Amino acid sequence: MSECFRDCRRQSSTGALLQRLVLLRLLSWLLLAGMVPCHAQQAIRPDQLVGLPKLPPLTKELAAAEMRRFYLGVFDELAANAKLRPFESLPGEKVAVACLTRPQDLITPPWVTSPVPWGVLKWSRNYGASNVDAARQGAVAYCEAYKGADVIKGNCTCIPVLEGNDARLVIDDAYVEKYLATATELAKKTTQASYTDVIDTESEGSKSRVDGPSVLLNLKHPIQLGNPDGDRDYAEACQGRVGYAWLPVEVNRQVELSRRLVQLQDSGLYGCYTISVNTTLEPRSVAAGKAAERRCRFTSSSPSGELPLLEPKTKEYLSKLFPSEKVKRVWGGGVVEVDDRNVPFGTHKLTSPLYVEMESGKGFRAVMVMEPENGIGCYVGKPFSNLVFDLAKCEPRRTCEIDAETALFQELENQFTSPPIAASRILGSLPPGEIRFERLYKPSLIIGAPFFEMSTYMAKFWSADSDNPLYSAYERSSFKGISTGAGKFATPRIKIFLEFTHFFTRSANVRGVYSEPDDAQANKYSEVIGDKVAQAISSACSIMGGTMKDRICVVERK
Amino acid sequence: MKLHEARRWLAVYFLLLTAITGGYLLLFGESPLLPMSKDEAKAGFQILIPVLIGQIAVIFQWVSRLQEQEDLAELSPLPTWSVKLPAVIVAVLIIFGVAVLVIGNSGSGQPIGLSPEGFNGLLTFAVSILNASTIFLVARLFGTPKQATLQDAPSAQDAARR
Repeated sequence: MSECFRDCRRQSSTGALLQRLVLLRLLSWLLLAGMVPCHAQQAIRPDQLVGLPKLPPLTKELAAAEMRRFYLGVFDELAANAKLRPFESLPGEKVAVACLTRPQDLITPPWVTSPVPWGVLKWSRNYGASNVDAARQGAVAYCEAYKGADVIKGNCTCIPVLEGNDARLVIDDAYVEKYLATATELAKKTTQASYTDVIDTESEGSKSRVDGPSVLLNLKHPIQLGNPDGDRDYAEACQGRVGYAWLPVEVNRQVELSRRLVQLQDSGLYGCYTISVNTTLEPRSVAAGKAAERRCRFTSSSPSGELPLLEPKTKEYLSKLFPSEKVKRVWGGGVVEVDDRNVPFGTHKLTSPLYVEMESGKGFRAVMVMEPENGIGCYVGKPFSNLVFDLAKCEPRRTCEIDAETALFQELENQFTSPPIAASRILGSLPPGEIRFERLYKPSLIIGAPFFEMSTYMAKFWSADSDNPLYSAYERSSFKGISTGAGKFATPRIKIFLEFTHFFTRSANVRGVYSEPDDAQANKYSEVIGDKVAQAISSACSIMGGTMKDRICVVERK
Repeated sequence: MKLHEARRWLAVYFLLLTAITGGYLLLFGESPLLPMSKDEAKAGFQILIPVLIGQIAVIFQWVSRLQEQEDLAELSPLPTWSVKLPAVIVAVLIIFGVAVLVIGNSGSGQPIGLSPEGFNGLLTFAVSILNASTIFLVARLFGTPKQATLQDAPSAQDAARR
């Protein structure tokens, strides 16, 4: 308390003793009453935390060895899970080849519970080769077909080869060097990260008013820990990656903490917010679209001793993190999508961790670790959001929809991978109806020298019979045949909507801080993106044999 | 090296260095000639220019107090290398830093580039070299002028005696 008081108080000038004493007493009261948040917000030091990423290897040899270990582990895991069928045997020599993901995707902090890098699953193929070399060449050719993918720049540098049951890895120097550079960067980011006690950020003060009785929700089972605001949130997209570490809680603080958690749990829904591409520092959207999703938070816990309710990877993560402990209960902050009356209609699959109670009586509270990324924040523009296809007179409707979306998908790729945008398509596991591009740390061809840009683009399609604000709940699951659209809420979809989002920061120095553009620069991008999207729609419309009317493609086909 | 030559050399050096680097940092931020943000260029300006301005002030204070011509034959007590070498090294460092900064950000960015932080670190290093070397010489060479000083002027007591 005394330390904190020293930090908090103002330095008085040559003051009278009496005045000082009065001030001291007053400040003491304020501190005791909790009105000055100084004590509650003691800075969290990384050395107090459990579960931060370990220091990565700093020599080439160690990095290569670690990658080898990592991949062999992945192979084992894949081989153990027959359903994944990652590597198919080739005739004769039982050889299979996979072109793996980018090295930076391998640097996964402990809080990321993804079972394998997506590239392993995405790109594992049988190349029709009859020996290892032919298979390797096949893998390279396969990768190179994905123009713009990051791994291609290194000419498909990592080619793991699986022969029978023996994994033989071919990992070249360029791949190891990239991995090493990424690992070093991760270590730097971890030391520069900000640490926030998650429970302190939860506040029932902004409790939402739901029409009707209060709503008390439980976590969605199986519980998967992670950042529920991850994919669309401003913070993650513009401010750096979010993860979690754990702070041991002293025994004498546990009662107070439990009371706080129960209080949060009893609050029902609280802290409602809108999550959408409009969540920006300075919205400069030319055509501001509808808010995508409105969400509220709630606190809940796994019932004591009911740990099967945890998702297997979460259980594995916790058992690796606390090898000498047995988890009794996990508290988490859930997120639920709500409508504009705050009536819930679907919980998010990820749960933000709050607190873990152990059988031994120990407890660990979650600390959010936010890596520094761009430092200052970034511009988020929505240069386009509109109805693009009217398919009311196009039959058969289902085929029309798929054709229109596919044409638009392809034309957007053509436009956005060519100058002046010159972005690369992101080949990840994306939600249906989405296509993403990125152009990272490269010269901006739109605002010109000396600026380098860090841009990500996301196009989101959905089909509906009208511009329904709840489209995300019902309509977006139909894309490229993924869903039959025959669900409970299926309606005759006759219109296709497109929303385009651009996250953008720039720097005058390729190694400098990437920050928000000024208005003129943002406007230049908006104009170019608007034109490119319009061209893509127009080209897709030609492919569909439709006609453009007021920027909307009307297709009449029987 | 003659004394007046050493003084002239340093005076011209500091004037040129101040004018050129100050103008460069102020005028070319966020351009291909100085690929860093204006704020970062301003930070560089704040590192370098106050020290240089301090030297110019010392030099011109001395010039302003001159009451007779310098002795053109008087030899400098300082070795020539000590006057020129640190100053030249600093100038070369800055020129080299600018070159690396510009080249490193040409095209898609080159592996040898400097970050704005790195460039300002280089400026700090240059200032440190000046602080540890040339600035002492400036103080020595541009101290109180030797001519009719208070020492030569009649004291108040002398005047009273008369």
